[in-house]
Amino acid sequence: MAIDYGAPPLLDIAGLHLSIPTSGGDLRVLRGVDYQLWQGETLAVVGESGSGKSVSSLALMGLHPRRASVSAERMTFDGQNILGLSRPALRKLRGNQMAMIFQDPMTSLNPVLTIGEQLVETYSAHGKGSRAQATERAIYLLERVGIRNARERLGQYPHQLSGGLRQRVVIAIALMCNPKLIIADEPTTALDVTVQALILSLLKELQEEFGMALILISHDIGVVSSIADRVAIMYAGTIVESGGADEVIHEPLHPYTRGLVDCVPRLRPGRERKPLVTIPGIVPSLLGPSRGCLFRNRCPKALDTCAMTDPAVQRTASGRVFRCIHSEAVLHAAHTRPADPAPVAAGGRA
Amino acid sequence: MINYAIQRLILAFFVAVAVSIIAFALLRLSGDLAMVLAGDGATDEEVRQMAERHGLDRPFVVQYFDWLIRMLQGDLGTSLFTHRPTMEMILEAVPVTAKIAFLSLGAALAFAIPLGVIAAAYPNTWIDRAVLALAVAGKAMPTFWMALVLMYWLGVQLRWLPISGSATWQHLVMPVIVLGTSVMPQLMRLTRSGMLDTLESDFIRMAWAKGLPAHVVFFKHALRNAILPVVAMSAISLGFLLGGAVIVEAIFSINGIGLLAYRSILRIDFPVVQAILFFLSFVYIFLTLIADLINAWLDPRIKVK
Amino acid sequence: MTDRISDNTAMPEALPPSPTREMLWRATGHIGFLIGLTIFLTVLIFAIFAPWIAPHDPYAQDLTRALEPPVWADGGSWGHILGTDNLGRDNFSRLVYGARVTMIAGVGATLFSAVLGTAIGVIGGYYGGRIDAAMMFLINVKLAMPGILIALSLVSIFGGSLLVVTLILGFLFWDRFAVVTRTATQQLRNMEFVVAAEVAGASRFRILFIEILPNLTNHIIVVASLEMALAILVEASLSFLGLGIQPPMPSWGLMISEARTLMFTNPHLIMLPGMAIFTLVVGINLMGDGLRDITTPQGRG
Repeated sequence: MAIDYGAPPLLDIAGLHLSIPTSGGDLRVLRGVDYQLWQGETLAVVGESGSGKSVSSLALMGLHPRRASVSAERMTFDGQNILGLSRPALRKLRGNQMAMIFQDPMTSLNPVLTIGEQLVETYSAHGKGSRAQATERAIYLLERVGIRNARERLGQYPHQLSGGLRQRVVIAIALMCNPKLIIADEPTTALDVTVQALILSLLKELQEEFGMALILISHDIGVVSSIADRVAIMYAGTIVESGGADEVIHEPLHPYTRGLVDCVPRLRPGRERKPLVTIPGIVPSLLGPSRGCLFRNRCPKALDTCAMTDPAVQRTASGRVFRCIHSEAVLHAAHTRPADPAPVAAGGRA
Repeated sequence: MINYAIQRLILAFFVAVAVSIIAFALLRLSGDLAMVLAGDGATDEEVRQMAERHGLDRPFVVQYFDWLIRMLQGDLGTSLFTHRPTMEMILEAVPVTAKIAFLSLGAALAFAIPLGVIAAAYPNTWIDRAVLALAVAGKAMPTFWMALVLMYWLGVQLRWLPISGSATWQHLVMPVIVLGTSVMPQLMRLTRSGMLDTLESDFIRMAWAKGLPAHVVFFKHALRNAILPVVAMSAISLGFLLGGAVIVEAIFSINGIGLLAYRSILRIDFPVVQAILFFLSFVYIFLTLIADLINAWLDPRIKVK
Repeated sequence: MTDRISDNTAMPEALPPSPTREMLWRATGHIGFLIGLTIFLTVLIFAIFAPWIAPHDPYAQDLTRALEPPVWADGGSWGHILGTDNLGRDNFSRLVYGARVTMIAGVGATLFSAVLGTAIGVIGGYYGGRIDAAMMFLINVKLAMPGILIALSLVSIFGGSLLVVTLILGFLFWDRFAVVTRTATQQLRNMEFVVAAEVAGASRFRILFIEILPNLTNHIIVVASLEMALAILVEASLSFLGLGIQPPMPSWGLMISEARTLMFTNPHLIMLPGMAIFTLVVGINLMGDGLRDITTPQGRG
């Protein structure tokens, strides 16, 4: 299905902030997140743990911790302002228009309810039809996600299924109400490597078949690059770079993206055997306000000015977006230098 | 499940044996019962006769096995005071105590579960704090004092309820309030903490993400998981209510097992005391066994093992 | 290159305070704990300094001054602030000395059961295997016995001196200590520092007392405070039933029992000692719950 970029986006987020009050001060988890998503599109949101990639989608569904405060310049889904929605209205959206697939299939199904009950209840809760219709749809979807003997499976409990099967059940649950948007939060991280690829291709297949938009959250840029249309890289609560998946991976503009790409051996050009690369340092504390680029302590190209001002959002002619004070040309020149030392050697520990 | 049940049964059996030895030994090792039985100022000859009559002159182990065998045949001995079979006296007293115990547990659960769920739904708010304060107050209330205060207030001042006996349902109201209050706090805290733990779990986040209404998330998804320890605790509470009714039965003059035990202790009627101690332990062992099996049955994860 | 990124000032960094300081900080912010501690310390001061605080001899009878009302009621006087009982003894003085009896029984029984329970729990948790199974069996047997009835029987046999009552209560409450310390010891024995001590050839005694026991202190203190509240309630109950502290010693439970026949005419005689027990037990429970919150950062249960 071709994506119509001329149409208004299904999801439009700008300047999303989220902070959680703690005894040590406000934990500013999201510090201005912007992205758009069109019907039928797959967006991969990539970042380290603690970068805010999961929280941003939880905020989208209204599932963030209650004591957190959320604000945004714009947060619309299908033309509706999500921030302005009442609790019941938001509830009617969840599971119905937008569904979520969580990371760990071992814990995301209720251990004391049957598979069938957990499928059917979503359908019933949104008044989609009778219990019989719900059961029929459950069986259809279980078969569609590749579960044999679907009818018998309905009466089983989660612990009777393997991890891969459980994740298929979770996917079927997400599809029950035929949502416009599915958010998959690290859907394969907890699974065996052999199952990971199967689940990812299943997701892609279903997305195309049902014409949904898909947000794929992952810490592994290599895993998602193959199925995403666009990629957004998150670091310390902001999106530091976004653009078409191929462009971002092959020509990263932000030094952090560069580091992420270098961490994945099979994505590096030339395919020569280099030692495994890591990005030195750790994600900075998100307590309280800050000044300057939050990546500067780990950045091989950091300058004194990086500590002075927040890096502005820059747009390239081809429509790519990144947050760095260096210009596109400087970044490119640096990357293509012949004797480019491994980034690991360049960064100092904070 | 079968293996688990057999395992639990074997443990229960050995605990019962150990308890029977202790219940027996307790009143034998404590001093010369023959002297107590013969009364103050009895001659040595009278004491010797008393010992012979009750078989107290035989070795301890012989006495124990004699007692055990007779007990297994349903002969719990004869009361030294009323000269009636102990079994008869216990069977007379049990229904009253059991009725009050079940009613108290029911009343306690009827308050504990909704309050625990509400507190967990609004953690660290004034609702939560009020519920916790209620738990602290209930736990700190001396049962005998509460009974007296209720008696004075509801019985004497307002004249709403009769103050002693167990003839009508009105007689049972105050005992049930007092006993219910004594077990309610723990059940409530357990419901609350179980709910708090469960509400943190992934499948609850998933339930919210499915757009289920709050009451479905709380009662169908969370409570079903959080209730497991409450079920176990209910059985233990029931055991406690059966054995701990001494004070309430004594104050309200209810002829239950607690009052029988209390009177027998005061009269040094050791066959009755021994029999009640063993009977209550046995009931407790049985109840915890049942609780474990119900838990295994409620939790599909154990069922398959 | 490092000099260029040395500017760290704008980067907020949270240095974790030391555990002890953090605990103190949490304690001063925990209102329930502070209220509980205040109540407990107040009663403790009454208990310790009873001879100086009590205006009268708690045993001195004066039948001419029997059943005087408290100062706020008609006919009350400042001579007996809380009035007198049916034998003309000063209620306030008896309450103050009653605090002493309550504290000795409560603290004594808790200490006794803490030592017994911790020994059983640590031995079971540390040695594991058959020894652990034996300790678990002991705990199961203890749980199956109807505690109050056993205590009543024992008091009827041994008599109701303060020492006997305290020891008997000690035997009633050791199981919780055993369960908690057993679990904690099981976790500790696999920790690096214990394994390291074992490898270094430290004696069992040394490992148990130097490496493991100090790490159980928090658990033991929390359980102790909650069990002490129970012990105080049971002491009062036993004394109320006449199978605890014996007259004329002033125990709060016994005072209520003595006033029972007079409760319809002089309700304050049962209200005062009852409130005393209730307040103290609430205080100790608040303190115990608070200690648990303070020593375990995550979650309140």
